[in-house]
Amino acid sequence: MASLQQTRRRIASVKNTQKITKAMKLVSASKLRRAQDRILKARPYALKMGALLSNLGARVSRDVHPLLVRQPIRKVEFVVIAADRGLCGSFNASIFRRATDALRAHQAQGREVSLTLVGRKARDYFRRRGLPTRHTMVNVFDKLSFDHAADLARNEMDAYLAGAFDEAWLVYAEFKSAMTSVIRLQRLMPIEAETTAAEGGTGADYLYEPSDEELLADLVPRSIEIQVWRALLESSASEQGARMMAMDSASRNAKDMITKLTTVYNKTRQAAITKELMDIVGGAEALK
Amino acid sequence: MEVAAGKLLLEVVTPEDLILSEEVDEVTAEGVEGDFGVLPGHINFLTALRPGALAYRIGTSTTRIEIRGGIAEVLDNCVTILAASRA
Repeated sequence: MASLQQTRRRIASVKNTQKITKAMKLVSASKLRRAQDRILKARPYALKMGALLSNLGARVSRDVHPLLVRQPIRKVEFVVIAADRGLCGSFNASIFRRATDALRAHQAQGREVSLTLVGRKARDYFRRRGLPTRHTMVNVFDKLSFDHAADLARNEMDAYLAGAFDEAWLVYAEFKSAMTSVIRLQRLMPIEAETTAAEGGTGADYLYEPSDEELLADLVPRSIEIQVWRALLESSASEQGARMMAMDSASRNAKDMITKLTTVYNKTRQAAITKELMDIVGGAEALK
Repeated sequence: MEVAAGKLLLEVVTPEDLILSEEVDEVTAEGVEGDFGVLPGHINFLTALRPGALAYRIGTSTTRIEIRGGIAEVLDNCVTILAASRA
């Protein structure tokens, strides 16, 4: 059995760990609130954009914009959005698993795959696996702004238009609640007619200025930007939720451990006292 | 959304925020093919905007805000500006 002093030190160390995990939980909780707030704020723009796009898309033929045209698919790009940091349970791992499954499926069909990685954890994970990485973006989630989304979207569109790939998918964790998120695999390019129509167009007739084709050309890149932006926001909220849960269970584990160690400590202490008493009593007996 | 008679509902949204949602009397903006004004009862209208000023009038007071380009939609007395981002 460990000595009294050793046990005391273990208890002190677990208590310190618990302080850290509790603090991290609180920090994640407040970051989560902010992230949720931003998702809500992004919604009006995204909804309006979806409605306009489906409205215009319905009246203009698909081949007017290269981002709407479907081509035979030989090369596929995956944009994997994970976290910059760990200590968030299985958050990163489940995203990587989903992304790996998806790209294996495409490879099995003889297609080339390439990766764009967002978040330091994503970069580190896939770097060790020797997959062709086209672009990386790290350390973005601390100060996430729309500019990040715009940069990323611009990079994807340029590469797509230059023929680097024929299809691009987003892999990210969609935020459901602090406890749950769903890993989504969503096509970014070319834009799907089904998804644009599903957003619900108003079917209203407008006076266009300039022509509807030119307006559509203006809308399509913006719509891709907003899709990327939403994915980044969802992912960042999911990450904080996952971290909050992970830190909560870590704090609870620490609490259990402290209880157990305290019991051990008290037992050891009692045993030592009993032993000392026996010694004294034994000594007194011997003197009689 | 219901708009009071003789008024326009002006909404300015960016990807990051809903900047403005107000009932106004007149909106003036800079479209790619020229500046335009919107009064209540305007025909449904969709245009791209140049980076520049967006002005709106409530009664006699006029407010100007700068936007970095975007899309303007006029639909049933609702003016929605999808601004690129905060200027």
